[in-house]
Amino acid sequence: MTTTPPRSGPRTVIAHGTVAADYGVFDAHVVIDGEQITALTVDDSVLGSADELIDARGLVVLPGAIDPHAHFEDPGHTEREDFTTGTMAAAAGGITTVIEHPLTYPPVTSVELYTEKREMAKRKVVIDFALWGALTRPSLAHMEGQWREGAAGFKAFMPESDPSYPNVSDAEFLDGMETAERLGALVLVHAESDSLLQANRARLQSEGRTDVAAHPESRPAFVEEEAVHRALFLADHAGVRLQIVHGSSPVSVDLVAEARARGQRATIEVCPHHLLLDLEDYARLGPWGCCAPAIRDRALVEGMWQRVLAGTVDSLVSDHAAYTHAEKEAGWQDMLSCPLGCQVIQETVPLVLSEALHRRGMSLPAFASFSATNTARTVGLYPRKGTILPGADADLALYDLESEWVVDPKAQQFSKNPWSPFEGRRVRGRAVRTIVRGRTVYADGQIVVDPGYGRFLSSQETFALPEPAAAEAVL
Amino acid sequence: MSRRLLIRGGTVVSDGASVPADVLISEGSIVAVGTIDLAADQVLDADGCLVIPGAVDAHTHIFGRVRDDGVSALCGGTTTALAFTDAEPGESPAAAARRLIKEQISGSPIDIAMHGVIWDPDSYREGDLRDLSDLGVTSVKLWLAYPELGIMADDAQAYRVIVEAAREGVLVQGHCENGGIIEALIDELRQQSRLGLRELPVARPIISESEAVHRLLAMAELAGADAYVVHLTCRRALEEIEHARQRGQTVGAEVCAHHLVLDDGVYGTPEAIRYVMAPPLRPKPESDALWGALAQGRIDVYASDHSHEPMHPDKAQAGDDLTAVPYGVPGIELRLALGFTFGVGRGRLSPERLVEVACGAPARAFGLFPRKGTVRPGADADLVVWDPAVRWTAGPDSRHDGLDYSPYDGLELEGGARMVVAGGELVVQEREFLGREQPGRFLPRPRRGARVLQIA
Repeated sequence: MTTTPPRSGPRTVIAHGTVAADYGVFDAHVVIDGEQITALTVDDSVLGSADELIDARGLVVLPGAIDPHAHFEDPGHTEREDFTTGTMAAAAGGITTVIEHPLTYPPVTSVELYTEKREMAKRKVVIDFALWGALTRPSLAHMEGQWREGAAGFKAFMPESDPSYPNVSDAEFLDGMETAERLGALVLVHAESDSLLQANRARLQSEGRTDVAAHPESRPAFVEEEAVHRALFLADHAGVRLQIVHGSSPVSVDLVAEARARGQRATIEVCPHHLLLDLEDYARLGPWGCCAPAIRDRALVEGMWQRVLAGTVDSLVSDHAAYTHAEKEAGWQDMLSCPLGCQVIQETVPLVLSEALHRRGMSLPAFASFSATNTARTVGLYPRKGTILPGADADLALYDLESEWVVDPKAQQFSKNPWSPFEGRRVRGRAVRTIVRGRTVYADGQIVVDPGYGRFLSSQETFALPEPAAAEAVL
Repeated sequence: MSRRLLIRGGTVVSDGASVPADVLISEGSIVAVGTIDLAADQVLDADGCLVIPGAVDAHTHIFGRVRDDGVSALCGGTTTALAFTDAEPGESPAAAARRLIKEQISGSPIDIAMHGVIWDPDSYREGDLRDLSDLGVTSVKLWLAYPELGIMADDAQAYRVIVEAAREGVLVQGHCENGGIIEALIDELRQQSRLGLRELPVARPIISESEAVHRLLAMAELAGADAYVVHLTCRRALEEIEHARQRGQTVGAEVCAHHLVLDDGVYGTPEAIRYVMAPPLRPKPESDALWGALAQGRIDVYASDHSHEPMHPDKAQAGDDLTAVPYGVPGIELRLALGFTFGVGRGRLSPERLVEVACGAPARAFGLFPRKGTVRPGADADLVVWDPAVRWTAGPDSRHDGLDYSPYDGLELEGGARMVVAGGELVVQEREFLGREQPGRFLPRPRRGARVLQIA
């Protein structure tokens, strides 16, 4: 006796899987009409209505991961990576939305550079994407324009990082924060103290140090913690929402948690290399594990895990940074001028899932929140993205949680120059299929859509107003 | 195929999210959530309404009157109650639970889970909690007050119970007031002939509460037990809970409707007898702080502490004497409406947060989730179609508990249950009970830490 509402497109049913959303784990068929999830059901009669039936028996259906921290080097260094290879690698790792950073060549410091990059990227991506704008001295006057063009928020560097991307003084930082606050935008910050870092570098250089240990010695955790402290203080003054990117020290996490307890809107993200590598690994990897913040010792890594499991680290991100083999290999000559960053986007989610679920007892809903929902909430994409609910975009990753594999970049990666600091590592849990807005983009080792399938997510159209963080269940 | 019921056109509020979605029900369970083009035998119109999980009241005293209290609960949108077990003299906690399961459940129109109670700490024996949890009763309340009734556990007695609770996976609940302090204060008031109801807050002060919270949590820490503080009323007590949490303890905090909606100004009025409960109502800044803490997630659960003590004869006969008036007020029916009116309506809680504290969190805290407390495939078909547009006044004509008063009489309320579905049956329409074919069920609960279900 019910009438049939019109469907908004072909019907895909992901059948017999276990839905693992931020809010719980349960068996259900996921019904997708067109690009959105329309229903979750245990009624088998829906299976007959499917145009495409995906058998997810034995698989877990997670929300597609959202990676708000990727560097695709495009434009400028497309010999390293580009929007196509970068998003293909992301898709193969269960990521359905990526937010790319403005540290490209030239850096995205004007409205024109922003829109040019956006239009170029639209034609190249295989998953949905957004672009951060720049909070730099030259772009201060362009922030509002970038925001109007869809910037997801604004990225600042406190230390000098890549010479092409100007780091901010405290005054410039505060100025940009005040603009972002007026716009309602999120500010991201690479928090390491430039002053402390430069002093350390000068000392080490004067001692003639070029060895592997020189790099972490130049930027110990204290250098990060001091800057996190200052960034939170400035953000509180400006009243702006702040995300500390790639936190690597438990003290940083605690500073953010304390700020949040005082009512400040602050969040912190973590990268796989700060959870899965320690100084022993780094000593072996040298340039291939050289990043900023630096890889930490085991005690700090364990401290980060403790906080990840307690739910006080908001988001898992990749901080994917691609380089040619020659660029990284040159780092052995002088580790203080080694290119910073790790190529990790394809392995980020499965690697951390493997460790978190199988070795450290994290629950699936906690992992869904960590890899997707929390970022969606922070950046304003929730509930359109980052969860599995009727009405949400059908952005999903199907995982075989038991499938074991070994990281083998040459055989597996879609990035331009296969390499990984995790080469040879055993992983338990594999993304077997990635779906973006109802369409399979990756399955069985293949990307199955053309570049340009991905869609640009504009802060002016797609993002919701930020909402207060969800209350945490205590019991 | 069994009868299929479709709730169409509402906004499902559950698990922290609000989404426009239909809900399809079959054989007592939710089978689909979303835009459904599956066949149904009956369609319920939820247009303009919120569709929320049947509410779970974590704190009720309904035994002895489960029919009236259950109907009352359903009319207000509560489909599951956790009920404290009353014991006969000489009865062990498990014996009391066994008797109540046998005698009371079949007469209840709602589902019932039980909390054990240590009514006679002198006769507690190790093994009592094992027997209790074998029955699926995996929480137990200790009285840290009421020496005059012989039910107060001293520290040694309380600690022994808590040690066994930790071992048996039983959640320790505390009625946290320092009975000794209160006894002395009442003696002092008696000597001054000041036992009138206006002195209730003097006789049972905030510090007697926060001290007992501290003590309960200290014992729980030592024993390694999870704890749950019932009917928290004040900031001082909440601070004790937060300190314990910072030390890594798992502590649940509950607030009841009357401590949020009312304040101690009533004790100076001739109506004071309508508001006699323990702990008593507190000054307004306390209830403001409780709302804030509930919104922020520092308080987990919103309950009623429903009691069905009528005004006549017992309360009224006792007169203006704080040592003679039986404690307790009704609230199982109005809890959701009060939450929507004074929480959501006044901007203190989001609808998602109210649903969490009134439905989801109590189910999670007491091991009923995700069977209860959520709208998702596989959950029990307990649902409320909540019409936020209805305006009504609480009073004798609107209640279904058969009682002769309510502390909320005269309050203007925003929102009410357009329909309530319990166990897949439509049992309430426009806040009126339609009857229920299947009786409510007893809900056994897993021990804490038992990984019975893979849940959030």
